[in-house]
Amino acid sequence: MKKYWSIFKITLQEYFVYRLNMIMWRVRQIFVFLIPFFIWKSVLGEGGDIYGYTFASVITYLFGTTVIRSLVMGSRSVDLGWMINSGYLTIPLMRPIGTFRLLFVRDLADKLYNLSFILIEIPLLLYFFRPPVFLQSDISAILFFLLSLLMAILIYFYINIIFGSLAFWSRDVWAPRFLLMVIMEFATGAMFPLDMLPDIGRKLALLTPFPYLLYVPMKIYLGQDSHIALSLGLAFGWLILLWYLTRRIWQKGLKLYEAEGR
Amino acid sequence: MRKYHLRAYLRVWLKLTAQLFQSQIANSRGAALLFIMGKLLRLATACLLVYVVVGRAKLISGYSLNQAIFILLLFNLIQTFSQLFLRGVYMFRQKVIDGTFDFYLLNPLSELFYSLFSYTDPLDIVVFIPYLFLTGWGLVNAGYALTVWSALIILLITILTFIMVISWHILIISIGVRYLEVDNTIMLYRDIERMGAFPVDIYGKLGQFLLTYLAPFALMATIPAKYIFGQYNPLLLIVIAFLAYLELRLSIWFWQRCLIHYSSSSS
Repeated sequence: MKKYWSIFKITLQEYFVYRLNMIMWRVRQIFVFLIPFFIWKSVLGEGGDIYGYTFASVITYLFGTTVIRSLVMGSRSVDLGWMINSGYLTIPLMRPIGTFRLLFVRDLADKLYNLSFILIEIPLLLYFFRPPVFLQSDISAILFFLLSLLMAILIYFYINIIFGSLAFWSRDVWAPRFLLMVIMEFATGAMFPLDMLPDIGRKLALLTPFPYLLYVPMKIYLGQDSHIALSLGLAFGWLILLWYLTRRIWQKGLKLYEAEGR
Repeated sequence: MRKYHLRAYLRVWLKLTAQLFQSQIANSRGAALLFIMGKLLRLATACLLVYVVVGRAKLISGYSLNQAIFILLLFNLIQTFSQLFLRGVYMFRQKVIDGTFDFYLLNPLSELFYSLFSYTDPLDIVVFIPYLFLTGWGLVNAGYALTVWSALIILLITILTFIMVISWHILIISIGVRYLEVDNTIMLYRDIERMGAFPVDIYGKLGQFLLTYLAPFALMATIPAKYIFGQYNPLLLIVIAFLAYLELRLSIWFWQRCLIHYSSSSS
């Protein structure tokens, strides 16, 4: 346990080596929220509603997904493809540590880093833009939300491992990851709530693992998911499937690993 | 810059681009296909966002759905054009860290030329063609036609945009030389640039001013679109031309200042 704690601390210290880099990354997170804020303000700022969403409810949703996004999608396991291609993977493989555990601990450090900065940024966003924020008081909704958040973190971790593992077969890991990023930007519900889509579009999206990263946890938090058990069950199903696929792909990939570059 | 130099720059640029194209054809055909798919899908989802929002609301800051779609498509086209030549900025930090930048400084051609223009992604040229047709469709769909005069004005706006975009990229790589930070700065630039995909009127008066006169993002779509919609006086382009010139001079001055601090410690 001590060695993983050391990895956790070292990962956090790495962020503070290039401080300007760190500041730019945080400023970017604020801009992620600004564009949809202004779009919806121009459409709903004067009142009224679209698809049952008022300005207050859509901004609560977007504000919430911005916060959840930092926690769920803040990750260092995206480096896996580079680790394989550069031969750097050899180092954790030779050491008495589990590679998945190493990657997950680094992910947790990234999430703590993001969370601590969010606590500074949220008051700033609240002060300048005054988005209406809904604070959930129902304990069961909060517990279900935390459960869905935990599953979202694990689902994203396994998706990253699977896409990173493509480097065992191909040097071009950037192109599939770019495609994944584009799909996730839309299918996680980060651009707009998925229930704004026609019913068939929303149902199709819910069959993929992506809405369980942002959209479903946010709807559970807001108390707007009338099928919580089904949503959590589907998220769990995806989690098990992705865990199984990750192990299979990893085992097959390791047999091909040639430590090229080391 | 003398005529002889311009020919040399063009020859080197063509050679570098051809080499990159050959490398992509030989090594990453599958990746290239996925990359193109990703780009087209990104445009499709952005159009879907506009459709979901404006389709139901009917108007966004006074623009109809078809006008907003045209602005998005035009932004995509001009942004792709401006990025096409400037992909080198993504590799710049690595070049400073591994010492390759020292070779740029020793080269008889400008180090700025190598830093900015040595990596023209051929995939951008491939997607530029469907983007051009889509933008043409967007224009017709919005109920407007392209006259020779308006085409010339749009060309002029594109040139001014390109000068401003180059200035911003010089500023970003200057920060890279000085502080070894490029990646997040360029991504922050891209994030702000995306604000131009929608009519800049939605960002309020201050946002509109900053995106028009400080950064070139309103020039990428809203201003040329406004001109086509008959809502923009082209004489205002004189002010923008002056600002573009000023930004370019300032960015080159800043680049030279940062170069003084370059220690070449990586090589």
